[in-house]
Amino acid sequence: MKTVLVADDEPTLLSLIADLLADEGYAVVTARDGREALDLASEEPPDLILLDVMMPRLDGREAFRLMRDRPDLQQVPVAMMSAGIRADQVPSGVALLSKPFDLDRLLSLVARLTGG
Amino acid sequence: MAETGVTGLEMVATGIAGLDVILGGGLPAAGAYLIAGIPGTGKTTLGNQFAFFHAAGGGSAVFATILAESHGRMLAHLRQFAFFDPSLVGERVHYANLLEALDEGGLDGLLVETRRVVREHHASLLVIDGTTAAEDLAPSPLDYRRFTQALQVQATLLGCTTILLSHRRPEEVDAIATHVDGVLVLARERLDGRALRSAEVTKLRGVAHLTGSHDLAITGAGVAIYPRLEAVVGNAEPLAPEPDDRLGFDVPGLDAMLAGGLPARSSTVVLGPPGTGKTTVALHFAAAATSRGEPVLFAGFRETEQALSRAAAGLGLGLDRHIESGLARVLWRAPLDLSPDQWAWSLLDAVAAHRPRRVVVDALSDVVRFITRPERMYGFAVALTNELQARGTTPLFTIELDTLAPGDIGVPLPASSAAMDNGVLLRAVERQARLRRWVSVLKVRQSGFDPAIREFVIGDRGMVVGDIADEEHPGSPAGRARTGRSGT
Repeated sequence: MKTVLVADDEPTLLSLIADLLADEGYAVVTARDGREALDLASEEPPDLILLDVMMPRLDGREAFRLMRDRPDLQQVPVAMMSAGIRADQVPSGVALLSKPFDLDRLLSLVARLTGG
Repeated sequence: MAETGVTGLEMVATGIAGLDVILGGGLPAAGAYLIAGIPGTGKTTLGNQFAFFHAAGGGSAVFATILAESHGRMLAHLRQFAFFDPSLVGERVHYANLLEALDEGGLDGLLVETRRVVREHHASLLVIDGTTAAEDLAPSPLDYRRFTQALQVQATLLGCTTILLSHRRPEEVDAIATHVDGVLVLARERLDGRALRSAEVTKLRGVAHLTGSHDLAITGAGVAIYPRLEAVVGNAEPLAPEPDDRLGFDVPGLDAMLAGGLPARSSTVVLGPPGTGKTTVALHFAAAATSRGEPVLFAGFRETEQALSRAAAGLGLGLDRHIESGLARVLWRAPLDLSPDQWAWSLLDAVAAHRPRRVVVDALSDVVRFITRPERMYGFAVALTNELQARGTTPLFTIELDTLAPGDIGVPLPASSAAMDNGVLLRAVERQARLRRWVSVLKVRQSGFDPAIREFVIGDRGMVVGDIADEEHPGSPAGRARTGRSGT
């Protein structure tokens, strides 16, 4: 079973994404900000990390930068979720999931990045 | 099913023509919307109508109830409506009961169950009826607001437009309105014993919509909404009248007074107290069209099609056979419990279908007396007139005056009358123990006309205009038209 770490400070959206991915057979770990996401990813590297860009404590870009500094997380695929940035504004090698997105786009991106 | 609107948003049409007009084309897809109104305002019918339209267009709809009438009872009621298609039930319109999920799992359980049924049926439209029960069972108002917000997020994620039906009063849904993308309020009020239904979009994110209240009726077709006429039409620049192209009445004396007839595409009001011959003048105008092989539309409120045929025959006008042939079309409506906007839209539909050159409305005063707010009368009349002219027709409206006295004339629609291009006044005066009829032309815009007041008779050859009336008569029709509020 593939594991997806989802970080978003919007609890309703976070909960729904987690439920929907779980319905599709993924193991889901959730974080409410970038710091928690970094800690959870460091404990056990997931197969995919979905990061909201704007989060308290540690935003998505900074969390991504710190993750790439860690050898055990350098190869984990990352997608950023945002309503405010364009694809050319995300770091190289990072996928963008523009908000609002629908389930089909979410599932196809997760499947692609987890090799499913 | 879903189209891209002018704002670039993907729009979902409700299939209720008037509602889609006031919504600016439909609802932005995959949003959550609240329809609120006390019981009996048409929410359940509207929700089902939307679902069947959506399904007929290839979508999949779920109509879910929490604490509402049973599905069997609801379907029995729906059979009376034209939109109901039993072949879609269970195929593309699915019914689900959410009460058990709410009882067992609370609002979280309800959310999970809605998600399950939407995904099970690949639904692109979800209607939830009876949401007041969920609100009542919520641990706190804040919890219910969170639930509503979650539904809104879920609607986007699932790509499923979600409609919440609530029988809360409009003033009770403000807190919830924050968490949805749009709010439609359905209302019902009593006025002079009449039940007036209305619809108003009080919120719609990202779409330019028509504000204010619009008439709503529940008909055999389902819920029908009639946008306020002046909110939709009348702003386009009307086609200019054509002074050189005259539309006559085939009444030699009257046509002479009008320098040949009414300029094409001009608007005309024929004013007069009861019994002075307004309908006769209108019938002449209509018959003059059909005698030239031109289609005419006659919208009336007193005489039915049969009565108009008889009246025309009695005047020696061959209108009856043209009514039979379809060249003359009669749009009759009893002047009872009338929605002016509903009537106006039916008139414009008839114009679109029949493409008449002349349109007669006998009488405009029968329509506007049902306008509940007097300040609307001017805008309504101007919008209707402009639209009829913009569609290339030459409209003639009769207006009934309340007084038989030939002195000062109280015009019931003063500003509207002033907005017309042409005016003809009919009066009845007592003389030598007889009522005599007088006709005068008040104005013909940008054209000369005969200012004389002439006597006329109505007989088996129709209207015959004669000599200049006696100026010595007391209460002379040189009387002024009192223009009331306009002060002009």
